[in-house]
Amino acid sequence: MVLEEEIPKFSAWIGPALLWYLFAGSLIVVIVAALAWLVQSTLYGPLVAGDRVYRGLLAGLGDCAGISLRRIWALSRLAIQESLRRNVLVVLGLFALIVLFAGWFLDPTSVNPGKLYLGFMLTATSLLVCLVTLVLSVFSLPADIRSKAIQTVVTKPVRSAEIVLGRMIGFSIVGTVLLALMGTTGWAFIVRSVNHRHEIAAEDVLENRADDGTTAGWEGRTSFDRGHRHRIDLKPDGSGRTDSTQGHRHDVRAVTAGDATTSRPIAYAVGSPVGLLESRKPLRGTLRFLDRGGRPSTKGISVGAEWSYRQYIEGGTLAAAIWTFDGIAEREFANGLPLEMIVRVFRTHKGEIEKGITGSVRVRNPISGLQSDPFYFTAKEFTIDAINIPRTLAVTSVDGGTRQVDLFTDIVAAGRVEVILQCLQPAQYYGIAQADFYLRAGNGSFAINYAKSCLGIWFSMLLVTAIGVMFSTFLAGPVALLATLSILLIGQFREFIQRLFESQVTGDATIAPGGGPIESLYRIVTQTSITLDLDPTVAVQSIKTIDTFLLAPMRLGAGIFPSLSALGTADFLAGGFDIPLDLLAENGMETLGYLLAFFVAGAFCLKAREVAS
Amino acid sequence: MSLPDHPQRVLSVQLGAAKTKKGFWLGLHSETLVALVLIAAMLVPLSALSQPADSSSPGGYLARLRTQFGLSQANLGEIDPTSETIRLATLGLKNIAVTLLWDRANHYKKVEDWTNLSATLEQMIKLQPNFYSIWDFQAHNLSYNISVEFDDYHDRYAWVMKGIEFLRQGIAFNQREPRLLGRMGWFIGHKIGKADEKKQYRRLFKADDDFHDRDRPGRTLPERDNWLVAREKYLGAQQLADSGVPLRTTALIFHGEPMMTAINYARSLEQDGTFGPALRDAWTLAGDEMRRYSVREIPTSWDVPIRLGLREAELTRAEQMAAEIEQLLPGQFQALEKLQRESLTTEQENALQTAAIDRTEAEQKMVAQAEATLKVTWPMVASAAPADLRNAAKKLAARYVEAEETAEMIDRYRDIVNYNFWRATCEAEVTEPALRARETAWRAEQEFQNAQLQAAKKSYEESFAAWREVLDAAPVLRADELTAEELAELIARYRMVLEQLDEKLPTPFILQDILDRTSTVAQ
Amino acid sequence: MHAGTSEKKDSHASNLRDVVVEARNLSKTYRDFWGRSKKVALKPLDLEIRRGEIFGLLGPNGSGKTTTLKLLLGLIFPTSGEALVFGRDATDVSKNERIGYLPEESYLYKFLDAEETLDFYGRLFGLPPQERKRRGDALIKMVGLDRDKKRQLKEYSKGMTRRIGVAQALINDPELVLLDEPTSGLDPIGTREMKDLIIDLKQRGKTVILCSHLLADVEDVCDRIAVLHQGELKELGRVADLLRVTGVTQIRVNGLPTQAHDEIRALLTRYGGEDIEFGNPTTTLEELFLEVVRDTEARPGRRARSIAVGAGSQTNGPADAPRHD
Repeated sequence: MVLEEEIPKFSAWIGPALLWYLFAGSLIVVIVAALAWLVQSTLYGPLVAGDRVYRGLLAGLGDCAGISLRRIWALSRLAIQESLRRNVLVVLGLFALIVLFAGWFLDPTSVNPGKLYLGFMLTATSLLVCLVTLVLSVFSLPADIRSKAIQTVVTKPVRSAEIVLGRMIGFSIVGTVLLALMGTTGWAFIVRSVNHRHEIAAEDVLENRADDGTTAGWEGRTSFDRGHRHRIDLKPDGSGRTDSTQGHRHDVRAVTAGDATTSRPIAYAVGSPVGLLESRKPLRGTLRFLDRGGRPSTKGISVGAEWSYRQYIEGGTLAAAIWTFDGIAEREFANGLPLEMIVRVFRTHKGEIEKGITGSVRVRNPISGLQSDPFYFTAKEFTIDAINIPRTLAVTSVDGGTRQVDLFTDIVAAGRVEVILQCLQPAQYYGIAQADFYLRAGNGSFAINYAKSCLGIWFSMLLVTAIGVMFSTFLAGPVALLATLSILLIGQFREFIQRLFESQVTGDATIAPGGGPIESLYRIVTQTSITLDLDPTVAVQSIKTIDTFLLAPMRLGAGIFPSLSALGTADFLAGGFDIPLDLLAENGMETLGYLLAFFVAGAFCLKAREVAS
Repeated sequence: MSLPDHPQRVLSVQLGAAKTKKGFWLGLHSETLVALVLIAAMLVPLSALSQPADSSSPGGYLARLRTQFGLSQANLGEIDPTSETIRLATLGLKNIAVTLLWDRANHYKKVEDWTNLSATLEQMIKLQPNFYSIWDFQAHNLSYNISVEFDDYHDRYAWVMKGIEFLRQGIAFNQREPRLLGRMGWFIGHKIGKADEKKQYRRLFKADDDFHDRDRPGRTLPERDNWLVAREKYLGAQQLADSGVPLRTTALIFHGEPMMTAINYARSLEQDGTFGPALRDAWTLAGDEMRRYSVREIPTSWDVPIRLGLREAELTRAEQMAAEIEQLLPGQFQALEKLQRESLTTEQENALQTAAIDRTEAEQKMVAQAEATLKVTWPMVASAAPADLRNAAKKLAARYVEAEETAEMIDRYRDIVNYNFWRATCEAEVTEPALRARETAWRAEQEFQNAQLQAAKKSYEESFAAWREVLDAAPVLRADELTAEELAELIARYRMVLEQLDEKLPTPFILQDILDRTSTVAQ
Repeated sequence: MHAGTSEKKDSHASNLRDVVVEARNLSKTYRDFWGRSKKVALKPLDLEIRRGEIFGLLGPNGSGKTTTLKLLLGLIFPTSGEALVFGRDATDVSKNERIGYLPEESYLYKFLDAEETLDFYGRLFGLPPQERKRRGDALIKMVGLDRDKKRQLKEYSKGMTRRIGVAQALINDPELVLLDEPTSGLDPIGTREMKDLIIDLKQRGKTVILCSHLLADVEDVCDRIAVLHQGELKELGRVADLLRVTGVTQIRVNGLPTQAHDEIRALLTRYGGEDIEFGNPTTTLEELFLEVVRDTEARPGRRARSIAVGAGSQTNGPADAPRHD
């Protein structure tokens, strides 16, 4: 899977994050207070305004102190009851329909149906859950205000903070229940969907005979099921496996009537798919490079790809990619290092079309520099290849002699080891990224991983609910709905807006071509390509200036608003990797931060509002 | 005070000005009214625009446009309920959704996420199933751009086939779009048959049961050649175009494809080392296709369709017309020529007499005038005819001009597709010497690679001899650069063989003319 | 300005504890989005309501009585002046602990049943479960919804909705009860029961503020009333004072035979009595009310002073208010 940014350790992340949060929070409070004071000043003059703002802030704090859990729970219960009354459970039926008709949308011939199904299921779950809680949260408070039921509530000793929090919690509970049900169904659907078998017809299998006429094995193919088939290769004893297609393989065993080694197989047993729905727990290292002359370098070579995620090393030279793995304990890797890797290939000449590009992997002691003899492999792109570095390694010394060393006594030093990758064919290149090599430290359960992914959806749902409730404190239902969607949309285009702004300010069109909103409109109307520079006429200059002013608040918004897709962890799940707890914890903290902010904003807005005008 | 049990008396005070403000009409606000009127007004042009067609009327403007361009859903091809559902679900934002999806597809391609890329394409075509460019562009993306990202040729082949299958889907949705069938033919022919991996691709394609079962069950192994399958596709496309479906591409090239695939098929057989009857059959097929192409009516930009093969016939017709005029007005042509010559001034005469390189600028001008004067055409002859014959003569002259012009037009169109060369190829390659020349050349190359020098030398010489016969019989090939270069390569290897045998190229060399020409080119 | 303003200040200090509700110069102007005045809902109002009083706010629709009530409850914020409840600002949430409020149309959650409704509001007061159950049962019994307590409120008739509304207003055993149109939608029996309840509340020492345009309610139960029209306070005082018709003597007798009429008439005539009438008295309050309205419309902006009921009743104010200590 692609991991463009390293996931920091939670312990290292939390400190700066909290500081930043406090800083941003105080800044916002100051800005809001200043704005409120300005508005009030125009109405009542600066002194009264100051007094009002001060009292308002004080009352807000007082409200927080008076918050009662019992009341919050009462209001949450009410929200849940309201949801049930609105037949929110209908959405479960909708989900069931989606699951039933998922086949319409999903292409079983896809390169990796497991990934596709997972992506689909998680998207459907997330969309439905978020949509339901969004609609609930956005329409609830305005409906109460319209029906005036709110008047009966606020004339009880209820703080606006409690009303807001009660709603947030209530709808979140509804969302949580929905999510739990959908998550379980979705998980069952996926497990059932990707699981399949193949048949092997006798006429599709050919026997390989060795020179002496004995059976050297069987070769053939499976039946065509779910949009794919496998090639099979059986050993003389009748056991073997298929090739890897659509991200999985099967174990195959020939069933013979009598002795397996002498009689012809009468049937073949094909096992369940292997390699789908895994949950690898990787131990990742840090990557550095050696250039073709063997000199250290921070980067590899670019082969001109637009995406600079992978760096390339030249084959047949001293160029190498070196990963340093830390924290390797002998008891964890008692049988050696299970190295897994994805290596991209870039050919500068066709070479031998029918043969892959070979490379080598060695392990080295980072302190003594003692390194093992190479392990050779042929690059398989886009699929995970595995090399097991055994406990006992051969080491060739300068004089040509070979001796055996132990991985942990001689190579791993203080829990650290280096893995060196080289491409062996001249003028051909290997492309790698830091996340492409890792030690498989263990296997998690797919079900738990799926649950973790649902936790990501849960965070999104909480955010959506909170934003919805926050807007519903001062906007009418449909407007609040649109406002929430806008916020989420801006969050979705967070990076794009940031790049656009940067491009606008620096004047460097390569960062994000096309300019701001007015310039884009101008280009659409005049049918000017986004890559074309506009003549710097007065009109164009003023358009750019206005755009900068328009982009500035968008940039600010993009920095503040949450990005739901950033909370998504579907990539891990689909890629077959365990979702790191650090990531979950960080996402959780971020969500919590946002929740707090939206809660405070909502409570403040409701308090400042006349609920019975 | 009393507490009587009287019924409640509810106080209701008339609130002064009740709701009788002006601007109210039928209980509606004036704004509402204006909006309603505007909406109603807008519905009028809308109905004119989008009234659906039925048996009694051709419908509104859009409906008529749809009929005109064959765009109505029922005409286009398969209607997919999913596609319809998804399109409805976008609530009219279909095009925006497609734009976003296109953008995402580009992103997925950039970050090499092939699974999501395919899924995105799938969604995109569900939204716009009748948009030719999406099918064409994205199929090309799959077969040409993504396939090469993989290192294993099996993977590459799989992606090439994905592009082809993508087109198959497109064809199902657009049964009246010959271009898509044409693209499929192109992919199957050229991507599989001309890529660097053509050897592997052609092998895999032949063995691809899944494809052939889907495409046309019962296809025999020899028929599974990619070029033959491509030809099938082109023939299907041609048939579709002939059924009256608008062909939105250049007919001249489009109709030449069956011939080209047949030729490529034969060439591929030669490269594979398949000779004998199989190859002769292949070239016979190519010849048949060539003849079919020759007599096919091709629309031109002059509104008059032409047939590529009829140039010679048109010229003959022109000659015939000339002869008929001559018969009608014997000696008139020469007489007119003579008359014109006599009308030349002495300066013009002198200028004409001067050798071309010695002429001054003034003389050159005069020569040009003189030549224009001297040019006599049959219409001129007809115009000058006596009154009783003039009408008949003029008719004949007009037919002469028509034949001449058609021939010229055919000539121009022939140049565009290199028709003369391909016709000569088809005619020549099927002959026994040509088949022999190819087979021996292939054998020679094999022997050369296996270092069987004497055998190679002999084979080369046999091939050259056969080639001599071919070239002598086909002047077009003799003049062709590509053929010459191909032969030059053979000769170069023949020379290497000779060098290793310590021999010299025999003089005169049997293909000396070719050698001379290519060496000039090389210099 | 109201005539009682100057007196109020003195009494304020001495009766601080007894003043439950106080409005000082309280006004409300509704503004549109741009902050322009749209409607003056309440012109500056001064008011004091004391412990144990039943205070009636009277006025036609749109007269500002509900606005006043909402200001007192903190549902809307005053444009100027202040509203104090139990000596605290009306927007202070903690005052609600001691308040019961019955909104105009019992704005309750229709998807809850009676028990759930009372349980919900009980929770909002932080009542422990057993207490909620006990009070809920008692109140349901009191308002006579025992048989319908498991039905959702959306199935309730208007009268039943009022009853459950009353029950929720009393769930916290409030010291101050604000009733907005308490008898609207009730049948005569229901109206009567409501009035009995109000009087019962008073007897238990509660303060009741009610607003109504149903004059009979106000007349029968209120100690004092304020008459509002077009956002302005027009009358304020003890109901008895306001309604006292000086110069006219009313005699009510039970079981008097008709033949006695002539004798009595003769007796009265002898003492100089004029315009002697026999029969049921009309609702004098209604007359008063209509008088106020007519007067205001004939001479806008002027306070109705010399109306038929006599000038003597006009000097009223908190000082004249009845005490129920």
